[in-house]
Amino acid sequence: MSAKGPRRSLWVEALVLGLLALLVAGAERAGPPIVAGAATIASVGLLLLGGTLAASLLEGIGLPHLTGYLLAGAVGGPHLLHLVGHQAVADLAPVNALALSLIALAGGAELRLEGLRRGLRSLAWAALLQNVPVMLLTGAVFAAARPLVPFLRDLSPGTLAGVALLWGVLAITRSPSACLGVLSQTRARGPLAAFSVNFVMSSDLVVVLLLALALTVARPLLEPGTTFSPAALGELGHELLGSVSLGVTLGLLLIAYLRFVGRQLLLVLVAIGLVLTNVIDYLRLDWLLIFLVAGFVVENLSRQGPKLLHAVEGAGEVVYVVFFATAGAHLDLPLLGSLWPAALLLAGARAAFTVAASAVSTRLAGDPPALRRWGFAALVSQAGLALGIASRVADAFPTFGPGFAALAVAVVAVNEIGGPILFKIALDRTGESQAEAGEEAEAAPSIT
Amino acid sequence: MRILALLLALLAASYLGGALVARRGRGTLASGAGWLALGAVLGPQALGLMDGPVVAAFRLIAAVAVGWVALAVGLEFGWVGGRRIRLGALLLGTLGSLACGVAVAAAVGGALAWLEPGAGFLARPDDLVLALGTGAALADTGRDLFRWGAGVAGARGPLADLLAEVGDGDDLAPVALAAAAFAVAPGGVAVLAPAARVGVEAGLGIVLGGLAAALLGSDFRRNTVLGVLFGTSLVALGLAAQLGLSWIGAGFLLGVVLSLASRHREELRALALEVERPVVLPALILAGAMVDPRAHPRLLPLLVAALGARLLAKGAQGALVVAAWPAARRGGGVAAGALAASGPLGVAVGVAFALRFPGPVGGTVLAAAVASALAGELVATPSARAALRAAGELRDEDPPAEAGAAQGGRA
Repeated sequence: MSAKGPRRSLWVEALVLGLLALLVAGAERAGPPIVAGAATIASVGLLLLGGTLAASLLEGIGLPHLTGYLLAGAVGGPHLLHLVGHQAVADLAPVNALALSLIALAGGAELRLEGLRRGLRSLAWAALLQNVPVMLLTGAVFAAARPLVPFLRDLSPGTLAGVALLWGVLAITRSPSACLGVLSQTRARGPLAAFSVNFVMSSDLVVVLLLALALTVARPLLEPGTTFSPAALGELGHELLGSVSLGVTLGLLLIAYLRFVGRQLLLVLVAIGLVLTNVIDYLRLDWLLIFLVAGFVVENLSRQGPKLLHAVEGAGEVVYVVFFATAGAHLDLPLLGSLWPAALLLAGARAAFTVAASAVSTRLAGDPPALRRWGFAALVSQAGLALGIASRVADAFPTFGPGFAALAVAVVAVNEIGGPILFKIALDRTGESQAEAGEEAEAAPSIT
Repeated sequence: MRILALLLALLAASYLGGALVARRGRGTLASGAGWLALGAVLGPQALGLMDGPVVAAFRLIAAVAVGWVALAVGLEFGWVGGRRIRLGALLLGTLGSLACGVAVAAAVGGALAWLEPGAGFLARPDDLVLALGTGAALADTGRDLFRWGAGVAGARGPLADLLAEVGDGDDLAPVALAAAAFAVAPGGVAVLAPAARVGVEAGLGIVLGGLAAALLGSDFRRNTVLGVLFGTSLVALGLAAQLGLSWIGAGFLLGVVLSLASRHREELRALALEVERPVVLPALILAGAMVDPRAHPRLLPLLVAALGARLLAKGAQGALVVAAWPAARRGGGVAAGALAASGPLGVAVGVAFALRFPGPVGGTVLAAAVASALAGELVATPSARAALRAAGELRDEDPPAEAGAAQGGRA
């Protein structure tokens, strides 16, 4: 493939996208679809095109591709232009789950034991300071922001404390997909990239643990009459043990397949992703953790890791475009407009505590200057995990849950847009970015 | 845990499929027949591992695969292996496949009239759609067998070139027949006359092809190209499906216009072929699983009529090729049998009809496409091998296994 060339002009892309949007909108108004799912297919196409072109445009000003995908989804989605409807977004859930399972598998394969061992000191200090302190401090700011948040005003002090605890857990979720997406684009190599991927991937486990603990502790505060019950911890143990076991099994199966067959790998991964994401819901296991563990096992218990990564990366940006453009379509920008003072305050506080925790932990760990200065950058992004927790809280606590989820969506919108930009800037500034615009084509792996 | 069993079956199938194709000179799965058979075995009619809900979940993937096959065929139209197809071979391929498609449609129409007295010859709209659809699915000579021959069996020479050109150059007729079938079908943009529907479909493909070419004009990086190609093909597919038009036709024209308008046509063709492999295999498995022997009360006689007409038409076309081309004469009369090869385009047409016309019409067209692929495997593969050997063009009888693996994936 050829590489660098003159940039397409903005108006050509805008015109083309506009024409396509008109075509899709016109077809929808022509009547009900003749073939079921036709609107969804057209929507995916529009998201892919919009995301790809927006990413290409934003790249010119140094922004990450993910931002383009998110913006395309948000603008074309059901909350703004409505080119992609609610039904289409809902129909895309299996595709989204598949994309995320591939991303998690790649994330696990990026975790190398050797790297973890080398960065153990940094990771330990970061885990200590980025989780519980940030959770408690952000929860405190949340409680203090009571006048700005309508659904908090009528809560008793005890209930408020319980809700704040849950908010604190939500605040320490990070986005493995955003981290990997930016790393995939920049092909960054160096201490910041290594620390970011190791910490963000492993923090998923910490969040799952803390969420279960927080729910157990908060439930008596949130639901008068209920008492402290450690049963939830037993369920958590089952979930974690089951997820790790299934992940290890899947990883070993993949090693055997890679070793003895090795063909049609992307197809096999897609089949596994589609099948397991359905089964795992039924088994109540954490499928993100399962795929992370499977990737980790393949990378660290065999020599097949590069093959696995090659196959997953083979799907290229298409996986990321679909995933993040759909995530963008979920972003409720009008809601952000109505909740923006509280959302900005909470997002700002979270970012400030993350920066402070990073400054202290990197100093205590004796990290290199790049990490001391930019170690927080990958930890700002939030996405699916945070929204998943918000949705779980909304289901479990109908009295305040919907308001909690709405505020979470608004805050995640801020972090989801700002986080990847920050991480890309950090990788560029530290000189760890390997691929500039034109080089990506040459470095891109084969699709097969 | 039926779904887990399916997963294990897919893993095993992937291994078996790869292993079979890698075995030189024995199992030959150039048409994708192995994957079709696998789908049939896993499907609701046999083991039942892929039941109704699973098949429904895979439909979106199958539809995307059909769109991609149409795009890839359009991108390659008029070209084979980086060179232009000679005009004579292009004409022979196009007219031959058109004649074959019309003969199959006529045979199906005749069989329907004979089996159901009083129905008349293609007098009912559904009969016309069924006949045209079967004609479209069975019209072309699959290109993959000859690519497989060149890639795996190491065939090189005038006969190998000619067969590849005829196989690659005859894709217009099935696309046109499918467009005609969609245009005369009830439903869809019913306010428009059939000719106008074809016009809308053509316009859609041309506009989207032009837009894709404009987008790829100066920024031709792999990630951008994949996004634009997938994006435009999905928009074409979604819009055509929304309006009840043939998405095979829209995707094909998109590819043709893009190939004509883009200065990166060589890279685009290479990329389309590369992506086709992982995209098409699930569709082949699904197609096999969707085949239902009870799709039409007269399915068996209809299949016999359709396949018989195809074999006769391809035999006649082959005889013409042998008579007219000295290169073909070197392969002997058996070279004619090679033109019975079928492949992903025929199956893609079958899947498109099954998705658009669920019931007897779609089920029959899909069953005919799958049966044609299997029959082609039995007839065309040994014929091609014998003809190439007779012509002295089968140089490498013991190719490396890696080549087999690489080509086998093309299925």
